[in-house]
Amino acid sequence: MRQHATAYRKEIKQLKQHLSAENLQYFEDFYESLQLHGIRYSEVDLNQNSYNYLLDLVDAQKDGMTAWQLFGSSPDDLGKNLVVNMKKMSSKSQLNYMFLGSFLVISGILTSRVSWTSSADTKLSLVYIFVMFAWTLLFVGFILKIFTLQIKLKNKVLGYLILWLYCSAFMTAGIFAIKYLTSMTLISVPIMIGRTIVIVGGICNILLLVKLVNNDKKQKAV
Amino acid sequence: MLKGILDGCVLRIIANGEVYGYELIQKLKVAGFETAVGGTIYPILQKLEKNGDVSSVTKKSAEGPDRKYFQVTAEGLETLAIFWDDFERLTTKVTSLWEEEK
Repeated sequence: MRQHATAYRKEIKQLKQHLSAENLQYFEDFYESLQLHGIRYSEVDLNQNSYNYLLDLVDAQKDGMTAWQLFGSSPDDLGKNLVVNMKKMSSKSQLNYMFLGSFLVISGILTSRVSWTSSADTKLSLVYIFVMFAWTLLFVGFILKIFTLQIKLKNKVLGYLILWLYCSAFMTAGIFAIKYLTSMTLISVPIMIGRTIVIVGGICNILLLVKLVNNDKKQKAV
Repeated sequence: MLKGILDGCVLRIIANGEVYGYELIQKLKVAGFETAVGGTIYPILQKLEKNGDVSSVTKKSAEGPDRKYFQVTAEGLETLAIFWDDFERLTTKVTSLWEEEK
């Protein structure tokens, strides 16, 4: 039988009610760990497996076992060990998320540049927009890889340090881009066209986000 | 060489008849692997499934909601035969070494 990720989430929610407080806490931590480390993995696979581990836990509880006795390791370690063998998110989905990130950044830049109170033309730097688009594309692409690296690293602190350094580098590059690139290759965009681009861009972003979320929901477990 | 022994035992149990995760852990415990835990067994199951040695099917269980059952595949039976050959060779070597040293 095939089910959607949302169907498994509903089943998980119902089944959790059968757990004791201690086992529920363990499962919540484990589920959180799977979601955190499984950012690059198929949502259906994550939820289908979580549901089956939960079924096992409910059975074990009936036999008087605790989650620790059944699984034998910390919820975080268990999540990390299991997620690496799960199905990865498709390349198409990853690419869609990368483009969504870039479109959101560009929309943010355009929204901040286009005036809604005056009718003066908007000055936009094509170099700045292009650099920010490409940089965000790379940022999202690599951050997905960093999440995978974090799972593999035994040292948790080192994992978070790498993530922090990576995000800081992105922010710093953004600040430098604003400082040095915003005045390069300026073009003048008539105010109405600028406003139309912002509105259409915003709608496109929402549509892309809805499409991505729906794709994840529709994705079937094999 | 010893590393794959638990994998072989898991495959052997599945070859006897389809099982779900907790059932497998219980069967291992009954077979003498008292320390078998989900944290060790689930990654083995995932690995066996990834390698094509076992397949999974979601179906209704007699006692409750739908759950994932594991079945051995034709490829898994071949892997099991190879495992058993390797294991027999290993036990023969270890036994003869043990006897010589006595």
